[in-house]
Amino acid sequence: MAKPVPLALGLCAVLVAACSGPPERKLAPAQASAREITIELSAEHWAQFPCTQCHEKGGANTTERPLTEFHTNTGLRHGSVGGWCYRCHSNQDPDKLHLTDGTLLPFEKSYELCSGCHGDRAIDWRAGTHGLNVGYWNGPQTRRTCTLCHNPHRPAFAPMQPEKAPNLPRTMAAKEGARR
Amino acid sequence: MNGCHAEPGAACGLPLPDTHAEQLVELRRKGETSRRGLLAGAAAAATATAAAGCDITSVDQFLQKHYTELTDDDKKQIFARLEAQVKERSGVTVKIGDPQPIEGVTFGYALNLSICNGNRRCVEACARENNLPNHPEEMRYIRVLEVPNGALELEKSDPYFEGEVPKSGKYYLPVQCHQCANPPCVRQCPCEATWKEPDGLIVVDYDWCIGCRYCQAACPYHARRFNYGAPTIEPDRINPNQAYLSNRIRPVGVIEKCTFCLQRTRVGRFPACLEACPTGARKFGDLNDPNGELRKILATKRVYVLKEDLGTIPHFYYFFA
Ligand code: HEC
Ligand code: HEC
Ligand code: HEC
Ligand code: HEC
Repeated sequence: MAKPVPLALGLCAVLVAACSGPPERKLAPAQASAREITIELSAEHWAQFPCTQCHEKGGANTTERPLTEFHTNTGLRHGSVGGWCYRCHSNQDPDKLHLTDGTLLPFEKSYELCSGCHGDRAIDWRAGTHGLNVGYWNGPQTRRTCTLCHNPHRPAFAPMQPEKAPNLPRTMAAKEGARR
Repeated sequence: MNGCHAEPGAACGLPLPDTHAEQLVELRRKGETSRRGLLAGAAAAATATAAAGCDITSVDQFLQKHYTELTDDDKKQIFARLEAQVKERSGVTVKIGDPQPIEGVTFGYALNLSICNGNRRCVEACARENNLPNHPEEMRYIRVLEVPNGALELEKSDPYFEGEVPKSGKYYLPVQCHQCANPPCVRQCPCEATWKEPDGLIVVDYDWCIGCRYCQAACPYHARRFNYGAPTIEPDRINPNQAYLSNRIRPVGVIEKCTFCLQRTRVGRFPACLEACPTGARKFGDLNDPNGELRKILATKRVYVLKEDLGTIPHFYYFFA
């Protein structure tokens, strides 16, 4: 690579020296904050919806047991949450979730369910400091619902394969090559 | 951190041109030197440059003014020339803009170290958004360090980790330009080719940078990258939404770095690395907005900056939550 450094150096230094102060900088006008939040839902997880296709209202077998015929992949492992599936799902209305006080929630509002037990995280999520908001930092944003990142049945964030590691710097790569 | 081992393109690769620096200081002291005489010399230099196979393509480009002196008309011409250059070389139609800092806004970034799992999606998204070359002179603005839990000495970190993440006993520390309020890199530049913008972003005028790499050596975060080779980006990887001070395709022999995606953020969007992060560890916004995420984080979380004792005052914060 033949970059003529000394000549370029001279030129740039002199042009700067010759300049008589930069022209006035025009900034972009300030905008009022207009954060509208749309919640991105996990509708793709609802393939088995509506649950009432198979489940009668109030007709569930609420005894905790391993499921062998259906929903065998639920693999429930959610802390010490008692009450099995019905801690969150409603027997009274199988298409709904419910809070501790019995309030029914549609699946779209599952974050309200999580908020009931994970208050701190939920506050952060609403403040935009836990979870992911995309779009405009001062305008419309799309906020991911909890269940897009945490499977409600096994909520630990799943491990991932990383993107590939960076290349070694040339100087090091050359040395590695020489060693081999 | 040991530059040689941790850093692609670190200052150990080529000797820094000390004698040139002295010449330069001399030249700057002689402010009264006749501009005309030097310009005549410069035209000759431009020809020599072209003959030497450098990326500078015309006398026009060689004589181009510093960014801060460009009028709107100058910009129009220069951007058109640069757009045509990309078209000619790669067949891709790009749009080079120049979004300005927003009145009253100072950009800040905060990264949640309890959440980051080292998946490097940010690194890849950044490379695509910012037109970073792919092969063989690969460089990336973001380095993700894998650090043993409890370690504070980043010498023990590994940027080359592979395999499923997160690994137990490790945490992950992505590092990119910290957009310091007191930037040592800017002070080192002998020709004002890099400076701090009113919104706090540190930018480089690639057409003004001479590639001396003093700034790179001065950056305590190893955040600056040097173009050893001409850019090699497959045409289908070129992001056509470009800005003059950020992601336009850089020539060989200049310094570049993260600008918080100013081509996006100055028009209100989030940086590409933030949107690509599946864990939601990255938070961005206006430090001056009392209701913004950044101020909430600064007010309510345990917040750290890297190498605080150096007095660089980064606008890039790390927090745990
Ligand atoms: C295609 C039929 C079908 C659909 C649709 C279906 N389920 Fe089930 N579900 C079953 C069967 C069969 C069992 C019993 C499995 C076993 O005992 O091994 C079951 C069991 C359950 C149980 C355990 C308690 C019990 O009653 O046995 C829960 C909770 C449950 N389902 C929830 C849901 C929810 C919530 C939905 C909707 C998202 C849903 N199911 C949709 C067939 C279905
Ligand atoms: C901690 C609360 C909680 C518990 C406990 C729980 N679920 Fe769920 N479940 C949810 C939420 C929330 C959704 C909605 C997921 C979404 O929106 O992506 C859901 C969705 C479902 C679905 C539909 C989507 C799917 O994964 O197929 C089925 C079926 C289901 N649950 C079955 C069960 C069964 C069976 C149990 C008990 C073994 C159970 N759930 C226990 C919260 C819970
Ligand atoms: C009935 C209370 C309750 C509800 C409702 C609930 N959780 Fe939990 N969750 C718990 C408990 C208890 C733990 C275990 C906490 C611990 O070990 O410190 C837990 C653990 C977690 C963890 C950590 C898991 C790990 O293995 O690291 C996550 C993430 C989580 N919950 C997310 C959610 C989400 C998302 C929802 C809504 C779909 C939800 N929780 C609903 C009680 C609840
Ligand atoms: C963009 C993805 C994302 C969203 C959305 C998200 N989280 Fe998390 N959350 C994470 C990651 C990543 C972690 C850290 C990894 C882990 O511990 O599993 C985490 C951690 C947690 C933990 C603590 C786990 C622990 O071990 O201490 C809880 C509880 C939790 N989240 C609840 C929630 C709730 C409740 C919501 C919705 C109100 C939510 N999260 C939304 C990604 C997300």
